[in-house]
Parts: sequence; structure tokens; C-alpha cells
Amino acid sequence: MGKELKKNVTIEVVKYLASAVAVMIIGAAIILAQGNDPVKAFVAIIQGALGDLDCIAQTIRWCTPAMLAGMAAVIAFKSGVMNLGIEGQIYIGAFASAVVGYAVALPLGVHIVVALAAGGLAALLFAAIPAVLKLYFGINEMIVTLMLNYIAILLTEYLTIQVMGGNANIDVNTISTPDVLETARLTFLFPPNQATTGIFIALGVVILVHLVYKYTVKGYELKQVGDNIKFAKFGGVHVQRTFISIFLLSGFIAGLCGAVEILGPNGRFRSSFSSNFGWDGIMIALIAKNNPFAVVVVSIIWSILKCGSLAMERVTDTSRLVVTLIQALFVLFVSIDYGAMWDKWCQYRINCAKRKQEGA
Amino acid sequence: MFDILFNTVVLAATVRLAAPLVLASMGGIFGDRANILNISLESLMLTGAFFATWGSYLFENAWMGLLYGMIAGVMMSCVFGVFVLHFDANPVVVGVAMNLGAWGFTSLLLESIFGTRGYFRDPAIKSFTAIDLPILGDIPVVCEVLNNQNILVYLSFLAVLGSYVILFKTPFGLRLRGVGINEKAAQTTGTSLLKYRWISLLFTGVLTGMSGAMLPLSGISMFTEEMSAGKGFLAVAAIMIGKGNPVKVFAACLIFAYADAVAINMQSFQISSQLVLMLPYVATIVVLMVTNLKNTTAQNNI
Repeated sequence: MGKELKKNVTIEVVKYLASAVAVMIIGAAIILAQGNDPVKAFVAIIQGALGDLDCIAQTIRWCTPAMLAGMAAVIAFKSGVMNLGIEGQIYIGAFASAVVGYAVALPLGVHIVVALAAGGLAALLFAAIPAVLKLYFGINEMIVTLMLNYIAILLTEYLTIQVMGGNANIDVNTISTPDVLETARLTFLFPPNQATTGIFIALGVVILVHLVYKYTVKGYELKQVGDNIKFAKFGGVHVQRTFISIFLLSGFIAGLCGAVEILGPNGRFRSSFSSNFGWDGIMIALIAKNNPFAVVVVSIIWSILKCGSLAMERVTDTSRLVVTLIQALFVLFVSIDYGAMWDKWCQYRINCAKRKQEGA
Repeated sequence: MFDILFNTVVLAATVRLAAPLVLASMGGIFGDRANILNISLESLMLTGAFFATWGSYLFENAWMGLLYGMIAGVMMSCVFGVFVLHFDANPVVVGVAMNLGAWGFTSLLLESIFGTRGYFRDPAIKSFTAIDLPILGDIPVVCEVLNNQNILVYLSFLAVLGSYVILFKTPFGLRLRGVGINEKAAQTTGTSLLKYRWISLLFTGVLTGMSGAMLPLSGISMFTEEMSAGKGFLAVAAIMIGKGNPVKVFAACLIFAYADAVAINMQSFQISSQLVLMLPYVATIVVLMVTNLKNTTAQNNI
């Protein structure tokens, strides 16, 4: 047992190291092909993300939405639910919290809680759509959530224009709600940098989810549905109810991500404010293999890459899109089933040996 | 209001807008029949669109653009095939990574080859021109809808016919369907799973590359970032609705394209463009619901 476990851990470590090395080689090749120095670019990334307090604050700022979106994806993927609509849920949550943030006047402490909850609940309701469609119509949730992404982005843009007075002839870049009231803003950690107390909300969610999985019956059921749905059914888990709750939880956290983004750094809802947070979260969850604490680590790496890539672009004029490509490649390499590959290779060697013996 | 739903301009636009969806979903059908869930169609289309623009720009010839697009589609399909078939990776994960990667990849190439961000437009990019068909041009209503489309639109019709014949009238199609229905049974008859899956992925690559090439080369002659805008996902939805039957999938594509065509026509009225642009996506969900109404076993689908 111990030996088996040790072997698995070794495989995992080797896998991530091999993927990281492979991705770095490819990244270096791309940077070289563009006529820049990969070492300089790499140094620029690290310096841009961790060089001084300003940089670190900025990294924390980007880490917050990445972590929350990653957790939203983890909740879904851990139970085998392909919620690819996190991007859309973030938009809905962000819009709802922005509206509550500017339109409702509440006392200091209450307002922010209400605004955050509004964001989470709006996205929760939005995430109920694919869950209901799956339960009552048997429609694949993946395709519905993909469609709902586009719908959410357009719908929030429409609603924002309505909030602005319904004038359709506005410049696309200026579509935004009024500023959120001061009472609903999250506190900045190191003003004037954009890192907010949202990071504590994100960490809180991570710890909470970990505790739920580890110590509660509900969490065990959620895990079981993902591991072996037949076993869960025979074990008496109400699979339909569990399925709905997975979607609602995932949506709630995605909405929270949008709300933190609006009540924190943004201050108001702009159409197309999200720079791919939802998809970043999905990639993070896939790399972290649905482990809440691994999500923290991966989202820190993700935000370092994000901040660093901007610095890299300034210093070495290497396009920051290289980083996007590298991130996607990393997901690809990590998705390889190395265990199965190893078994295949062993089988191949055995077959070769057999053939040799037969030949001789 | 009523006549914007049924005039010939809308119907002609439907046929035109349906063509990329039809080509992509006909490509996807082969993968679907071999039981491969392929949501990377979106990335195949996007890279196809970029390389088609590039090819057309280099040679000032739309056909070369089409060729480039098809090659790009096949290359991307090979990436998918290697990871899913040989490295045992989860197809959905590979699809997600490829969709995001393709966005970074094409935008990066856009910057490093053409030195622009966002979009690329150049007079050297040649589109396919409309064809005036001799006999069709004389029939009154049909003429306005079907005539004067570009060659790829007609090719998309051929693709439907071709897929139908290949899937249902050839030994290859029979075996491919067998692979999808029951792997083990197919294996016992001596059918190589890997071979059939690879061939189906190559079909996917060629046809989806073509559909990607259609996006820049059917009139607008320019490439924009994220040009595919979910069309690949719509194609996947169409395959699901049609359950892998080319004719039904074609019908689903026409419905989506019709929603799109009506949306474009409604933009001239006082209706908010955001609501109008939502139409194809909403239509997809509604059609999925309607076609699944009879599905009484839905409760057991989880």
C-alpha cells in the first residue's frame, strides 16, 4: 500500500516537472523565433510579478479572481459535472453585485455583504438553468453552459445599457454602470495598488470547500458522485439532488468571483470587463486536479504569469500572448494519462520480447 | 414585421450563414460516430480561418487560402488525435485547452506575421466570388435564395450528401458506426479502432478547416480575433440535436443560421443589438429542449 502510494506520488511529481520543462522549452522556442532572448523574458516575468511590493500587490490582485474561478470549476469537475459556463456566471454575478452596489443604500458593514450575496445568488440562479435542462430534458450540460456564456455576456451588456438610460447609440467601450457606493467597496490592502481584501474571501472559500469535502457527509456524497456514480446511487445518494447542488454551488462561487472583481478593483460593471477569468479558472482546476489547495498554488503561478507577461511585453517586446499559449499547452501536457502510457509501453515491450522468443 | 422573417434576403443569408456550420458539423459527425466527444471544433475553425487568410494573402488566391485552411484544420485535428487517442487524455480537457490555445496562437501569429492586433485586412486577401448558376438562375424564388452564392456554399450541400453516403452506404461507414456503437464488438470483427478513429479525425480536420476558411473568405476578406465566435460550439450542438445523422444535423444548422440571419436583419429596426445577437444561442438551447422533449429517460441520464 505504502509503496503503491509512493509510486503514484512519484508519477505525479514527474508528470508536473516533465510538463513544466516541456512547456518552458516550447515557450523559449517561440520567444526565440520572435527574435527575443528567452532568459531575459523569463527574468522579466519574475521581476514583473514579484520584483517589489507594487508588483506583488498586483499579483495578489490577479490571484483573487483566478482562485475563486478555479474553486468554482473544482466544485463542478470533482463531481464530474462539466460546467464550462463559469465565464457567463461571473458576468451575471458581477452585474448583480454592481447594481446592488450602486442602487441600494445600506450601512457600511451590511452593504458589502448584501452586494456579495447578490452576486453569488444571481449567478446561482443562472447556473440552475443548465442543471434543470439536464435533469428534466437530459441535455448535455456542457453545450448548454457554452451557449449560456455568450448569452450572459450579451444579456449583461443589454441590461447595462438599460441601466444607463436605454440609449442604444453608445460607444461600445463606455458601456458601464454607475460607480459602486463607497460602502460596498472592498478595502484595498496596499493603496494605491489594486489588491483587495477579496483575497481573504478567496482563501476562505478554499478552506471552506476543503473542510466540506473532508468532514461533511454532503462533501463525501459530492466526491462519490464524481468518483463512481453507480456506487453512489447504490449507496443511497440522491444523485439528482446532488447534481443540482453541485451546479448551484459552482455558480454561487463563480458569481462571488464576479462580485469581488466589481466591488474590488473595478468599482463598476463594464461590459466585457472579464479578461477570461472563467476559462482561466477552468484551466487552473484542470491542472490542480480538483484539489482545493493545489488551486491556490496554481492560481498563484497563473497570476505571476499574468502580471509578469505584461512586464515582459514592456521590457523585451515579446508578446504576452506567448504566455496564453504556454498556459494552454501546460493544460494539454498535464492532461496526458502518464500511468496508462507507462502501462502501454510495458505491454509493448512484453509483446516485442514475446515476438523475439517466437522468432528464435 | 412578418415579412422580415420570410423574405428571400433572409433565406439567402440563412443558406450563406449555414454553410460554415454545416461543413464543421459534417466534419464533427465522423468523430461523433466514432464516439469521440470533440469540442475542439471551435479551435479547428479559428486556426483554419487564420491560415486561410494567410494563404489567400500570400498567393492572392482564394483557393490557396482554402488549401491552407484545410491543412491547418488537419494539423489541429492531429494534435487532438495524438493527445486523445495515443496519450489517453480526456477529450473535453484537450478540447478546452485547444480552444484557448488556438485563440492565443492565432492572435500571436497575427502579431508576429502581420504586425497588427485585433484584426487584419488587406486588399491582397481574395475571397471566393458569387457564382451565377445557368439553370438555377431562371427559377424565380429559388434563384434569389440559392443562386449567386459562393462555391463553398454549394460544397457544403455536397458535404451533407457525401457524409450521408459515406456513413450509410459504404463498408467504411458501417465499420465506423460499429466502432461508435460498441468498441469491443467492432474489435472482434477485426476492425482497428485506432485506424477508424484516426480516419474520422482526418475527415473532421479537412471539413472543419474548410468551414474555418469560409469565415474570412466568403466576402469580408479579413481576419478578426476570435472570429469563430462560438460557431464551432454551435456545430457540436447541431451534431447532438441531429444525433449524428447528416440530414438532421443539416436541418439543425439551418435553424441556427436562420436565427442568425433574422438577427442580422432585425438590427436595422429599433431592437437592441445585444438581444438580437443572442438569438442563435437561445435558439440552440430551445431546439435542444424541443428535440429532447420525448426523452422520458432523462432522469436516468446522469
